[in-house]
Amino acid sequence: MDQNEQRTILLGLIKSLRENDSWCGETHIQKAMFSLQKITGIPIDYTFVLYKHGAFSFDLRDELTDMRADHLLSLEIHPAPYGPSLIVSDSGNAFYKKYHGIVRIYDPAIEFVAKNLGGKGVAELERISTALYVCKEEGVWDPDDCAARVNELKPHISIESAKSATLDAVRILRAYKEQCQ
Amino acid sequence: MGKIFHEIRDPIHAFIKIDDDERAVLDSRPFQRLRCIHQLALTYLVYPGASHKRFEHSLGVMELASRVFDIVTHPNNLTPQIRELFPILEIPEKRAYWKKVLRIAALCHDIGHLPFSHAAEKELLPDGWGHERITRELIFSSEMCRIWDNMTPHLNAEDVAKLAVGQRKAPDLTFDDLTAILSEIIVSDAFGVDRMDYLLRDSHHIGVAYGKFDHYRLIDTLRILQPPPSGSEEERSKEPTLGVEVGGYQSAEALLLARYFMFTQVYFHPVRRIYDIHLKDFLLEILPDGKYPIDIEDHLSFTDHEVLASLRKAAHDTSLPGSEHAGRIIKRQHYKRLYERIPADFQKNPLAAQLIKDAAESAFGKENVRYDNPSSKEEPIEFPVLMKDKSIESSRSLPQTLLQISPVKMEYVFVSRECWDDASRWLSDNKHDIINS
Repeated sequence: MDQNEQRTILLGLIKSLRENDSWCGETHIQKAMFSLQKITGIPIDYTFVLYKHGAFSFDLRDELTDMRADHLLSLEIHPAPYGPSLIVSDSGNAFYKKYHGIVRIYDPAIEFVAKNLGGKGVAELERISTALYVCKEEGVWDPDDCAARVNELKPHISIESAKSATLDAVRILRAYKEQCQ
Repeated sequence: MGKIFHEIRDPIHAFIKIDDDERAVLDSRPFQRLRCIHQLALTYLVYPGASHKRFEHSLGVMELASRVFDIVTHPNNLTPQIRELFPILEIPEKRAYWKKVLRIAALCHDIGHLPFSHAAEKELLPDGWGHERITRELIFSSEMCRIWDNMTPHLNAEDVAKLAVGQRKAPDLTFDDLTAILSEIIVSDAFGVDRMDYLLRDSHHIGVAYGKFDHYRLIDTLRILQPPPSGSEEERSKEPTLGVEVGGYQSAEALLLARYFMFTQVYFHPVRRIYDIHLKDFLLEILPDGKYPIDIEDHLSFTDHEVLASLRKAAHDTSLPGSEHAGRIIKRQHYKRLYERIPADFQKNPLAAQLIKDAAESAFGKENVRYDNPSSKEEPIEFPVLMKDKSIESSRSLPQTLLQISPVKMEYVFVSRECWDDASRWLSDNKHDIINS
């Protein structure tokens, strides 16, 4: 997938997240993109590690910054104490329109992720993405084992919250499989 | 009896004190090699004062890391939530261990740098390699492990490596909340001391004021904080990160502005960039298979000195490989800027600069054209701010100077000076058609 296609998917994801009531801060976009890769298997290969608030990609951060430098994205500022949101600019919308046809095939996957994660806050996304990371990257699928591992990696997430997040992650994975059948 | 502390004079931090264990690191081959690695590659050809080396920068990073550690882990500066999260910081031996690891990691964070630092690193190392990976290899080398083992207490090489390269460059290592915060002290986007030292030091040597900021005030007000809310719900993540007390907010702004100005005025200076490109072209021709050695012994014996000696020789002997590119550097016959991205062109066509590059290559030959598109990448302008009433807010919701800082991105098309006159006329006649094609 070339850079223009990848950027179009990212723009589509941000638009769709906003339509589904996401705050669309960088953290929300990071977790949604991680889920898009890991749940739907869209062939984008941002490298994710466990970092700020769960799964995090430095490549994706660079790309979001680059897209701001290219005026495809801009920041929407909110009153204190909340952080900013990223929005698709006029140039971004023109860019999306130009290239959308090439990546239209991925629209259902983007909409699925946006619908399932759009309404969630940072703390919940952190828990779910960390659980998903442990399941998919470390192969730990048992909810108790996964919760223990999440708590080990992120001690500020309790075992109970981690277990609930694991069950949520598995439920979303199953729902996507069912949607594809 | 030896000295307990050794003092080293430094133009930025006055005196840097090191103990015997740190002296052993200083005296090691990997660290001494940094005396021969220019901090800013060939920038001294544009700003003659920029001849400082990674050696003194690494000492500066250690000094600042140590100051930040003392501030952010001081019991008076820990909120109850952070204290609960890091009980280890209240055990004196543990606190001393991690401070030592942090200082050593800061000292070693650049030991894997190639000759001329970042210039051409990406193209000249095999896939999957960067200077951070070489740093890791060196930290785990038998030579350095002997030093870690001789220290009191012994240092774990993996702890040193984690803090020295951070999570981005060590995705295979597991970071807990403590090691994540400590590595942030060195390499973080917002308040990493690597960045603080290079801005201050580069400005000092180059002779510009752009990179200066009140680092004393900033460091005194740094804190480990939970992040600000993001989203309309009340729930927030509890993951700790480096932030600042509101009293230091202007110093934090000054740091980020300093970075912005240094990128626009110094690091992305077009002549500095084209010298990097000529150096890369030269190295591609002279290195075996066009790649730097990644073997540790080869790495340790390869510095700017060896490259400069080859450059000088090749510049004056056209039979030697790389002679053309060496001459461009040594005889100062670098390519000249034909085109620089401007907003109006970019609005018309985001690919404007690349199209001009392609058209120029067709018109004047690939060998006479070079394209460069540096960007500042990481976006460090959101961080938690501890307010007077102990609430935590996003830096983005406070007075909005930071909002005016755009990510820095440039695009340049260079042509050889022999065809610059023709190319300039050609571009003037054809730019509109090229961009609108």
